[in-house]
Amino acid sequence: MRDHDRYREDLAPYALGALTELEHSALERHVMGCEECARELEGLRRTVDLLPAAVPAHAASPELRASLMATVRAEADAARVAEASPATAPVRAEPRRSWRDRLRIAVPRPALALAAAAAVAVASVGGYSALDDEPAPVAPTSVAASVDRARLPAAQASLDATGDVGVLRVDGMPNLTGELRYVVWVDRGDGPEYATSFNVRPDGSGTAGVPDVDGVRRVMVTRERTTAVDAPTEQPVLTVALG
Amino acid sequence: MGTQRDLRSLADEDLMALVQRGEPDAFEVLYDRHADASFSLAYRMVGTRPAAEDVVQEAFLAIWRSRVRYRSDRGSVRTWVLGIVHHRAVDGLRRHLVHDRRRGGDSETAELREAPERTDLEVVRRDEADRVRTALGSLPEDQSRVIELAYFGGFTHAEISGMLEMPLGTVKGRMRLGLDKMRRELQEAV
Repeated sequence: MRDHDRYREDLAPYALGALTELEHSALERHVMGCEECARELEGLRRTVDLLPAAVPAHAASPELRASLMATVRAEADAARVAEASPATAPVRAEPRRSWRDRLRIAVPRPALALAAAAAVAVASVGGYSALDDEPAPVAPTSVAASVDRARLPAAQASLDATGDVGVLRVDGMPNLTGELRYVVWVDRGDGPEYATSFNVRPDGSGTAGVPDVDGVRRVMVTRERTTAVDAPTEQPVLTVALG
Repeated sequence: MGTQRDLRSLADEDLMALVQRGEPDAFEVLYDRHADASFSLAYRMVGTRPAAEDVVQEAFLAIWRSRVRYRSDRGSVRTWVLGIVHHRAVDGLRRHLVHDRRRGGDSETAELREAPERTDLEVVRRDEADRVRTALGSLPEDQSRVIELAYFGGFTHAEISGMLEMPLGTVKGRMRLGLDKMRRELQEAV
């Protein structure tokens, strides 16, 4: 009974998200076996769920939408192709053309999907690639990054670009902890400009949407303690040259 | 897959079914529907536009990648989405990701949203927002303070106890009293 009273005291902090992880887990275990606490918690949660309505309204930026949807669409395309074809689809390299020439090609969505899957399938990210059996025209959309091997010995990265939207794909990168974040910068010739930030999954892979790559000469990634910095505080750990 | 116009006429739960099949167009509509509320919540919590955008981006990517986990019997899509945004913001605050930036907030993001379309749903949401603000505002300050520090500040009950130099049991009790009072107010207002 004493335990029950103690857990009951924790229901409000739990609903507000104010317990530590350990306390949170312990309370969840109790609630699973206690009908009275489960009922009370439900009522508290319904009230807490309304709290977001109390905040002043602000509009999310179009850049955020563009960045997010660039990543989502790239992942959806890659997943669709992965479902439809074997993961080890044959690939071939094409003669290198300028990045801007490649972006000018209008890519129908199925072709983009195949190209995205090929980019995923080629673990070495050796530049750009296309499926052998893809009908022409095939638009290679992936540009490989140069990586600072001293700091990221296992990293691979490439930028897939369609029109003005780019998606940076990385693999083999350390998952950052604490305050550190990977920050993506774009350089149009007049210095680095903040584009977005990201972290990788525990397996070291990740994607970041870069909403506007038009006119960009270099895309760079640095590790920063805060995303409020105006300029990189270290040399890039990876760079994609687009010029 | 329907057109954007068709998709925009769907209820959240129907959209979510398409999202769960991996349809990015449906996800885009879902994002548009909840982006401002998500950003507003994140901004209230972390205090600056770049940090709030990080939170929203991470939250929606998590939503996209864990879309199969959504279950309609556990609550509305909006509640699920805002819960994930809240969780990500708390996570960021506790990792001190935005520690140095949330104190004062940045002035360039002080703009309020322009009036959106007066759809029926928007009217309902504005009405709900008014009721929730009134209920929160009507609480004694010692109760609203612990609720705001916990929910919007991301502080644990132990941290709040230390900050306010108040016994842990008192903090928990005030959270409970405040939420109970809000619930009664909101029930009466319906």
